[in-house]
Amino acid sequence: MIRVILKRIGLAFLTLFGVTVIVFALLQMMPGEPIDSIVPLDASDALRQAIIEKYGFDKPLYVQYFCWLGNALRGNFGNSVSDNRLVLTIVSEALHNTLILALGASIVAFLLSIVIGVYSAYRPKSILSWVGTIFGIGGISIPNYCLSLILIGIFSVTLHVLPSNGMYFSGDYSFSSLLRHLILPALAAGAMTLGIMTRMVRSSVAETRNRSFVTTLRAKGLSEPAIMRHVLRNSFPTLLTVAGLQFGYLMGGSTMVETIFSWPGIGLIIYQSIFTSDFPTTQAAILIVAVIFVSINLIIDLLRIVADPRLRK
Amino acid sequence: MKKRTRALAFTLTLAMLLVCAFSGCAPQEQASSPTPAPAESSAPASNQPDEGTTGGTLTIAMTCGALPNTDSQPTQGQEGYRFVSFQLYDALVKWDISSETEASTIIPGLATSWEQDPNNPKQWTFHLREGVKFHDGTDFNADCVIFALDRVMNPDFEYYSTSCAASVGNFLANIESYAKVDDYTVTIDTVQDNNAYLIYDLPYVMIPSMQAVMEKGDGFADDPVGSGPFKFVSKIAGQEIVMARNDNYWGNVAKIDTLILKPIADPSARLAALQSGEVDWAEVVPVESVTALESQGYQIKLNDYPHAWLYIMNTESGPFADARVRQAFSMSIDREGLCRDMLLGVGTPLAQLMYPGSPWHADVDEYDYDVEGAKALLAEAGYPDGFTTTFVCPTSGSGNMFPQMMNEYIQKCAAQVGINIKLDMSESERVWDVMKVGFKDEYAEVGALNTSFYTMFPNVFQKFAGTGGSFNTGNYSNPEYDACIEKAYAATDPEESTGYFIQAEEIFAEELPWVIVCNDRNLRVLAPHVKNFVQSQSWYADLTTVTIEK
Repeated sequence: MIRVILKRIGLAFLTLFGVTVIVFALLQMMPGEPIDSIVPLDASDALRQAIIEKYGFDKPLYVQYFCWLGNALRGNFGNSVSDNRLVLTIVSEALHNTLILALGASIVAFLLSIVIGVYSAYRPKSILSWVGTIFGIGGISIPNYCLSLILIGIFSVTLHVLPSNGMYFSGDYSFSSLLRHLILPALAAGAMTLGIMTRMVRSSVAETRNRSFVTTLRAKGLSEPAIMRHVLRNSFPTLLTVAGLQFGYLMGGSTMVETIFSWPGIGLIIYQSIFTSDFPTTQAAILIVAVIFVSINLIIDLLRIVADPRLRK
Repeated sequence: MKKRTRALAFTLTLAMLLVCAFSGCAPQEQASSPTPAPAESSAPASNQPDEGTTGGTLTIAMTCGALPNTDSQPTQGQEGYRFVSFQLYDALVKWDISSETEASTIIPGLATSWEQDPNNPKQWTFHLREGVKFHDGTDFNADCVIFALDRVMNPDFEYYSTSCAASVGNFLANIESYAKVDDYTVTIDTVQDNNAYLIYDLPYVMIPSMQAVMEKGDGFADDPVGSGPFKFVSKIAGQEIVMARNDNYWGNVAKIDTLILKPIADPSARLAALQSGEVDWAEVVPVESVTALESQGYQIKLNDYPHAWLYIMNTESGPFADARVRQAFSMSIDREGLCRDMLLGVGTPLAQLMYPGSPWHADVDEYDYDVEGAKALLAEAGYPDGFTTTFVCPTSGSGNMFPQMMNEYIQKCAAQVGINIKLDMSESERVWDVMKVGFKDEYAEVGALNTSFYTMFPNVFQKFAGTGGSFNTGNYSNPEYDACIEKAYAATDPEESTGYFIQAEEIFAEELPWVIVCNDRNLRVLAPHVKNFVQSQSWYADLTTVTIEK
């Protein structure tokens, strides 16, 4: 078992190494030279030279790569081209904000999906179950940027009840200010997860209900709520895996939602830094998202190995 | 019986869980509209802490993706200067942005007057304004000017800043040296004898508080100190910059108390923020929303200003090397139709570099819409059946208006006369790459590239179409044109200089090294309660006159 675990960890590191190469190479493949995003087209040669030296563009590519990798490992991603702040500060602030959004979205999505999913597994033909199915399909099918605009249109522009952008009202950094800004982006970002999870919960609960131990329990004369407890307990392991993965997606994949709501998370940072050609920030942000993905996958893999003896070989 | 209990249990659970899930929002929704508030005074605006003053808060939605650098030289191009640098800092001179009807000119800033040395036309003397204080209370004097210039021009200087130097690099190429004469006089020597360059570069060399830069070092950008009409209060990355009125400003003191700048890159998101009352002012919103906004009482601000939307033509090789083909292309474009039907008035037709309000606009017959004439010219140039070419166009980008639909419109126009354009749409970064590489190697077959430019500086004549000009991608070269520019720079009399520039513009409008399509009209939308803003013919905005009247 330890060998399997070590192998998985080794593979994760290999993946990460590949990611660093790709992240570095991507920026080289982007149109234009990185230097041109910093120096204006008609700047003096002396200034151009000074900046080339500062960023090390005069060195061979592989030297640039290893310098960058070495610095990145020590948490030094350099300074942002667009506002000269430390990239590490920018990215860690953004990560913190994305975590808030991902948590908000997960809480909404997980709670609702369990309620709707369990209910429709028990009452597959009821109206509420159909409503749940519609929500599920809608959540999966409506692109989140589209849903974002719909939500803004309804709740911000028409009803004026919730703000359409940012994390706080200026000067009001209270929890309630945050919560009000969180609701719409959390709904938009969590809709997909809600849809996927609802379906998972429903099929998983329905399947468990049909298993023979449930019939046995019922034959023993157990009350329905008690049977439901058993059913839920048996469905949870599968759901946890999906939930973990979904949380990973939410941490890295809400670029569109963050952009539309101007939520200063990692997705917005990636979007902004690409459009402002702020390559140190783009590299760091993509790398960190990749690290999160790989880590979450690794943790889930390891948990499954621990939980499922068949995977231990 | 059992079934009913089960159903009841479920309904109850469901209800409870739903209540739990939504309990977070319910009280919040009530809290956000405590009174039956009208649209404009919804929650966000009423949330501003009122500090006992009455000027109110102006919140602006900018188009930039990230907040501009608050160090003395901004990032995010002209928007950085417009809303950040020109509010926090002053320079020796500044743009006069008080008039809606007159083209913007250069007026005194921290220098009250300046003159050219008659014996040494390269040397300019600036007399500085006395009694000006920075926001930290320190005095402005000649040392601050020298310090500011050293900070961006002298790589050996202790406080040299590469990032500031890079931001302002465009505007430093003409300065040879500078020196302090006395506490309130400095001299600046230019690279060439001319009167046309320097004064247009200096509004962009911002002057920070010397003491603050020395004390804060790298942290200066997080707590910047200038002498401008607004003082820095706070900044949250990706969210907002907050500024407060500088009550001791040497010029017009602002009326509003607080200025908040938000970066909202998406046009629909800016529109939503404006309509929900979160911002009072939105830069460029989607064109199709303008009519509806106007009927809701929002103020649509439009004015001509020096900003041309254009094609840089491949004058080096291919069909467009022939001026007649460029003229024919220009004549194929239905500019009126484009501006009226597609741009709904946010652009005006233009077929020369300088817009009609510009001092360098030439009064000539432009090569405007004439399909038959264009066909005739093409036949004369040896293309009676037309030809096929590729245009490199951006998909978006600051100042590029609505490149996709505009290019498709022009593609249809050009097809009428036989010019079949293949559109190669890509990121604006790649368009800049073509501009740098030129029409050669992989881009040799490209007929033109689409972009937009500001045209408020006379040096654009040299940069755009002068031999060796830094944006002269097509390597256009015309000795007659170059001579006009040279004479314009050498002339010490401004009138005479302007005359030569107009001559250059006439050649430009005839030869069309670049084909100009239209002039942007600087669309911005203000909420009904924002009053007294003057939309000048300029890239910049005077926020000192603005009042909030709710």
